[in-house]
Amino acid sequence: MMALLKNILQPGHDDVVDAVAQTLADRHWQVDREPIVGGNRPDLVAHQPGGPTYVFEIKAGRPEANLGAVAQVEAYLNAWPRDPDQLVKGVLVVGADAPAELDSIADDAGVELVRISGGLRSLDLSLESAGVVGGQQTASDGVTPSPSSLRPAG
Amino acid sequence: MRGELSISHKRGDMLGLLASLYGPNDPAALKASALARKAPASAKSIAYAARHVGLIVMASHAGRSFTLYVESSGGQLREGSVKVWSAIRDNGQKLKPKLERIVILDEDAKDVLATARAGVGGALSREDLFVPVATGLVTGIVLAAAEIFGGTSRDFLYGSATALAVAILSVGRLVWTSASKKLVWR
Repeated sequence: MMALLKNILQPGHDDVVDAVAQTLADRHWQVDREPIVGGNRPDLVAHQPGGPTYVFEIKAGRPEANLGAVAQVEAYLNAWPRDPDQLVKGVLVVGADAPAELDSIADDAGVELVRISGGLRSLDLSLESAGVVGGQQTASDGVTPSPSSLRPAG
Repeated sequence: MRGELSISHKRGDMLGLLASLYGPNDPAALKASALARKAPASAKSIAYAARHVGLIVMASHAGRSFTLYVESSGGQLREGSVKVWSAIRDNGQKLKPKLERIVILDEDAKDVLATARAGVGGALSREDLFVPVATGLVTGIVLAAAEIFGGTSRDFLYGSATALAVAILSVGRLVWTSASKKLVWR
């Protein structure tokens, strides 16, 4: 019964996709919903002019994200069309109750993990603390982001 | 396409049980999986992989919560996933395993094709059982309140009887479904 209640109270997948897209659009990012890239259809692809391209997969809500979700984002990155000038980063957005083990799996796979810990109202903060928005390092800055989370396209 | 089985257990060694059912961990099985081909870095965190009659069974875990990934080379993925769960449930009784859910998903199409759950939660997730049980519950509460505040009439009781009777039948069906260990697919 608790799980049912939790399920009802949690924001749904589409709500989170909308909120992430809106948060990025508010920061003047270019956001594409469910584009087909490399034979895949991630939830969102977004980039700031001059910055890396971010591929978002949203797995908030039930069932909670698992290794398969990280693998999905990694697969997006691996199938991304090769372009040496384009930096591509994968982002997996999960609920606060996603297993702690996901952090190390995501790190190994070069995927940024964003936990929505305070509901959609704190999404901005969650994206910021994961380094996706605000104070981020971009290709045009000449600063190389963490090698585990950044890879050349392809 | 793959099946994902979320299983928790209270004691014992789930990886040992998998090895006794499907043989020792086989890195070649992992390499043959679509998951590892598309996402080799993530696949490194898979704790167990083996091949078994047209299936590749892989497992990752967080404490006592396991996720089993089942891929099929010859179709019948849903049946294969159910067989994996049945084998764990029947052979691992000492581990007290509990199935949270089975999800059959097509990652390329980004589509959850089917979800199964067991127990009362699974049965209650069926709309055809949830709605009459909820209606009966609300009717019971209203009846009790009316009784307390002296607002019950004969017509009111007769009008409520149907909802209560259907709720009782639905609870019976719910208990039967849960006791039979039958998976409820949606």
